[in-house]
This record gives sequence, structure tokens and C-alpha cells, in this order.
Amino acid sequence: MLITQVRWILVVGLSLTLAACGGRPVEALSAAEKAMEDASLAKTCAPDEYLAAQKLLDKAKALAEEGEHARAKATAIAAEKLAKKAIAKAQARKDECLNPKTPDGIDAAEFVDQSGPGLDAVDGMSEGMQVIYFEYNQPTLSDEAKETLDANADWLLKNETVSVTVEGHCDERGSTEYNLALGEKRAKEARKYLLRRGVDKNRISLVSYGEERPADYGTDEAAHQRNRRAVFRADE
Amino acid sequence: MRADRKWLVLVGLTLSLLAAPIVQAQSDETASTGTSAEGLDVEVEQGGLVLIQMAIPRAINLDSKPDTIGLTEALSGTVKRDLTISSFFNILKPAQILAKSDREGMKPVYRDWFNSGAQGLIKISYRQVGKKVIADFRLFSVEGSEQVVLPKPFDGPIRIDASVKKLRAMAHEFANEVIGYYTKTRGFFGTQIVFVKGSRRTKEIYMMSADGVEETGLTGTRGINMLPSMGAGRLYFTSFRRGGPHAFRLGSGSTSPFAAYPGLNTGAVLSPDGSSVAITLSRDGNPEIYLLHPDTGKIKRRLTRSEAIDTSPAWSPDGQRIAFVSDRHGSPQIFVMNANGGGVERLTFQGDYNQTPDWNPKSGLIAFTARDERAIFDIFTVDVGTKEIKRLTQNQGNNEEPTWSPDGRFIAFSSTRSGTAKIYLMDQTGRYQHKLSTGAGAYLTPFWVRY
Repeated sequence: MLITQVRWILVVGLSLTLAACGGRPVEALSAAEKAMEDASLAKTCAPDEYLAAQKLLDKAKALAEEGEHARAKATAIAAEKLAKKAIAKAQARKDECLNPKTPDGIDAAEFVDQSGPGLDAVDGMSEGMQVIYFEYNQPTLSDEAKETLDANADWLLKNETVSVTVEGHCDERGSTEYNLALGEKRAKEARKYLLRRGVDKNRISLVSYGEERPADYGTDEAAHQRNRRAVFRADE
Repeated sequence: MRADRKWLVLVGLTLSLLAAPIVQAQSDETASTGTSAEGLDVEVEQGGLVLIQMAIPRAINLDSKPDTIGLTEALSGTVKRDLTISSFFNILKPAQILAKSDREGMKPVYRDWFNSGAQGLIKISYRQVGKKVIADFRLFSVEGSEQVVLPKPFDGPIRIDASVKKLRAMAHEFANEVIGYYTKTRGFFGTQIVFVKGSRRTKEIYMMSADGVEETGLTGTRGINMLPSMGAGRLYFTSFRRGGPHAFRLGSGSTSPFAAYPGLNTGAVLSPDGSSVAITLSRDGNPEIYLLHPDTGKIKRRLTRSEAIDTSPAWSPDGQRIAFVSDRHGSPQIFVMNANGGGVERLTFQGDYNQTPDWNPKSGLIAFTARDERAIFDIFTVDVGTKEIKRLTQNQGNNEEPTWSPDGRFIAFSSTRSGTAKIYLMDQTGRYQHKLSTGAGAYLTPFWVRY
């Protein structure tokens, strides 16, 4: 730092001495102008240095107009120096400045599914048999549920051509994934009971909807009770 | 002159303390910062909330033509939103700012910012050149009266495609650098969160940027799509579109079936090294956890063998272990096992309803959802080593389905505190909580894309 300062004083002092003997510092000014022209990249990539150099050059020109040739020359030399510094800095960070690496983000557009509505969008539930209900977080069959299942089994034994899908459902409490597992457990308990009552196992299939297809969209306990269920859908 | 400056510092500090809504007494140690090459020492996690007072004036348009495509918002708006969400800063309100940002340009008059109570200052300028924007992002230490030198490309102006998307991506990068400078760990902005948005009859998969904007709907089946997860540029989800539920993979504009074994095929999640997908299948009669080949969906290995429900696998960051939920002892609890199915260990013993584990990518903490004795759901963490349990949410509706940020410092989750479920963000102490999602509808099962 100190050394640069001393150097600077030397440069200015020297220029002053020289300028005292000469007229308008044509060479110094044109050298500075040339440097500024070369610094076009710096305008973008090192603007602080570029603008400071531009300012110095303007000042040098103004001083030259005023006949302050010595100071004009010193200022022009400083402008040239700074312009060259700007060029060097701009060169050093050219790649970063002109083509910065854009982060490898995920483009959501690449994941937009164009395949349209799925089969499950069709909401066509036909309930030939009665629904059974469950306790919170339980797959076990209550006595009431067993009575309903007896009736459903009788109906299935009478209607031999009908196949049935047992749908297990849960209330909205608990995680999506755990409830899919719990819904399946409920459907399985119901199927097991129907099999024991003599319904052919090939006529009964299973699906768990977890908490995804509530019968009641309410959020109170009454709604929860209506949603913890197994539904028996006659397949077409 | 020196003495003058010191006095100014004192005044500035006092002002900033007065202006800060949440600065605790112990900030004496941490706020007396000064600038070093490594940045400031801010004890954010151990102490109270010590917020850095940050000024982020509107980006300066250096062109004579007006900004018609939202460049200003994409640049300074994004940085401001990110730093606000990050929880480390108090962003000064425009009314607090005495400095004339547009007039002073990119050379701040530090005294004015100081007297506004700012410790840090972010200035952004831009001009359009053809189809490019030359943007200049700068961070200044107001206390040190100097520009902070940030790593490339933020050591000077940069030329970016003139699209809001590209500008936002770069603004996120800059925000991450600023957060890294102050906290020694870069921020998570620019990453994505996938989630489910539900209406009455439909559930669709969505993706949003981790600052809560740029929401994009991915599926459009008008059916039920669930449990999205993503890794290595592959998005997996669960859907009823062909019965099942089955697992699907989404990419390049189309959905392909991934696993359609008899029974449940739910919650596919890719391992950190991309070599396996952990999933719940009930083909054996009850839900068990399996590893599948990530491309073909073929079974590589069955991991659990119990009569009970085993589900919700979550990978450890090194891919060597898997946390999961099992009700093998009667009620759903959090377990861990080795990625080959051995070494099973139960982690939670409190409560009778613990679900949805997610393993911190940087530590041995597992976040999970627990139902308490009032039948309210809240988020807790359990330390895999010590099994110590910590509660993070309380008395703010139901809080469920935690997912860690890629830097391991935050958790996004679904909360009903404002009515319908929305996605919120909190730090790992639970002290800081912030609503992240901005749209309508029920926001469920967020999954933060981490690798």
C-alpha cells in the first residue's frame, strides 16, 4: 500500500515536471482513450473500474481544456492505468460473467403428466350390500359388523354370478400411507368372514382406499365413524 | 475520524437493536460482529433468535426502458423472500430506510444505511442487453463500510438469459451465498418440494420451489394420486388409476407403471445412491417393506417379515439404514433397520401412534408425526443414537408429514393451524415457523427433493 502511494507520488511528480515543459498531453490522452475502447468487456464485467476510469478520462479532458496540462497528463495516465486494470479484471472473470453456471434445477415442466384422466376418476359406486363400520385404528369386526356380514354373505350365496370388491376405508386421521395399510386390513377381515360363511374366494377381491374416499367430508367424530368402513361393491 | 466512526457504529447498533422485533439480550456477544473473511459468527441454533438486520432495496433498473416482464421482482423480490423465509434475517421495511437506493446506485452511502439500522445491505442492479440481462448482485457490510467479496459468479456482474425462471434461479443462488456467508452453511433455495394437493374428489401431485412459489401441477388424472417422492430426477408416486394402488414413475411428460404387485404398492422412495427403491407391498398378505430395482420395479429384496403393518420407509443419508413404521407390537411405532433388513431396532416408546419418519440428511435425527393423548397430531424428532424425543409443534392444529430440507436445518410439514392443511416451514428447534405454500386447497404429504 505504502509502496503504491510512493509510486503514485513519483508518477504525479514526474508528470508535473514533464508537463511543465510541454503543451497539451496528446499522447497520454489518446492512450487513455484507446484503453477505454479496449475495455468494452469491462463495461459489463468490471463496471466499477470501468466507470472510475471513464470518470478520470473525462476529468483529464476537462483539465486539458482548461490548460492544466500537467494535471491533465497525470490524470490521463491514471485513467489509462485503471482502464487496463478493468480489462484485466474483466478478462479474469469473463466466463463467470458472460456464462455463469446456472444451477442444475429441476424443471417441473418435464414432470407434467400429459396422459389425462385415469380410470379412478370415474366415480361409479354401486352398493348391492350393506356397509360395515370399525372402531378407531382397528380392523377387528364388531358384533354389529358381523351381523351385517352375515346378511351380505347370504345375498352373495343367493346371487352366485356376482363378484364383489371389498373396499377398506379409514377416517382422515393418521398418515396417508398407514391408512392404506389399515384399510387393507379391514377389507381382509371382512373377506375372511365372508369366506368362512362359504362364499367362493374367487368371487371376492380387495382394495384399500385408505382415507382417500370418505363417505362424509366432515371433520367431526360422527363423520369419522361413517368413514371407518368396508364397502361391498358388486362388480359389473 | 476514527472516533467519529466508532460513535456511529454505536448509534447504528443501538438503532438496529431498537428496530429489531426479536432480538434477545444475549445478542451482545453475537451482534458485536465486525467482518472477517469467514463471515460473522451468528449463533442461531443454540442461543435465542438473533436476527441480522438486512436491507434489501428494490433492484435498480439501469435501463431507460421500464421493466415489463417482472425482472425487478425476479431479482430483488426473490432474494427478499428467500432471506425472509430463511429465518436468519430481519428485513428492514421500506419506511425504516433513510438511504436513497436508486439515487446512490451501486455505491452505498453507508452512513444512511447505518442510520436506518442495517447491518447488511443487498443491492442488485440490472440492464437488458438483447435477450440477456446483466445483473449485479452485491452484499455490503454496513458496519464494516465495505462490500463483501462473495465467491464466483457473484464477484461481479453476470449475464443471464432474460427469463424470470433463470433470473430467479440465480437470485436463489445469491441468497444461498448470503446465507452461507452469515451462517457458514448455504441455504436451500432453488430446491423443489413435491406434494399432494387435494380437493374433495381428487388428489394430484404438485411441485413447488422451496420458497413456496412456482407451483406446478404434475398429474391431471382427476383421480387419486398420492405419496410423491423424488430422487436423481425420478419422480415416484402412488395412484389408483389402474386399481391397486400401484406405484408409478413420472418423467418426460408421461407416467409409466413402476410396481403393480397384488395388493398395496405404496410410498416408493429412491435410495440416496439411486440403486434401490424402498416401497411397501402387501403381496404376501400384509404390508411389508421391499427394495425394488429403480428402473424395472423388479423385487431385489424383501426387508421385513411380520404379521403386522410395516410401512413408510425413509432412507438414512448414507443409504445404510431405513427408518419405518410398524405396528408389530400393537400400535404404530418408529423403527430402524439396516438396508438389508437386519438389525431392527425400535426407536419410539412414548405414545401409541407414531408415523411418517423422515431422516435428517445431515444428522441422526428422525422427524415423525405423533398423535398425543388429545388425539392431536404433532411433529417430534427422535435421536437414532440416544432415542431422545423432542417435540417441535404444539397447540397449532394438526401438524403432520415432516420432511427435512436438503441442508438439514429445516422441516417442511403439513399443518391445519389456519384451517385447511397448508405447508409450513420450521427450524429444527420448532421455534421458527413460517407458512410456505401460497395457494388454495389442501396441501398434503410434502417431500423435499434432496438428491
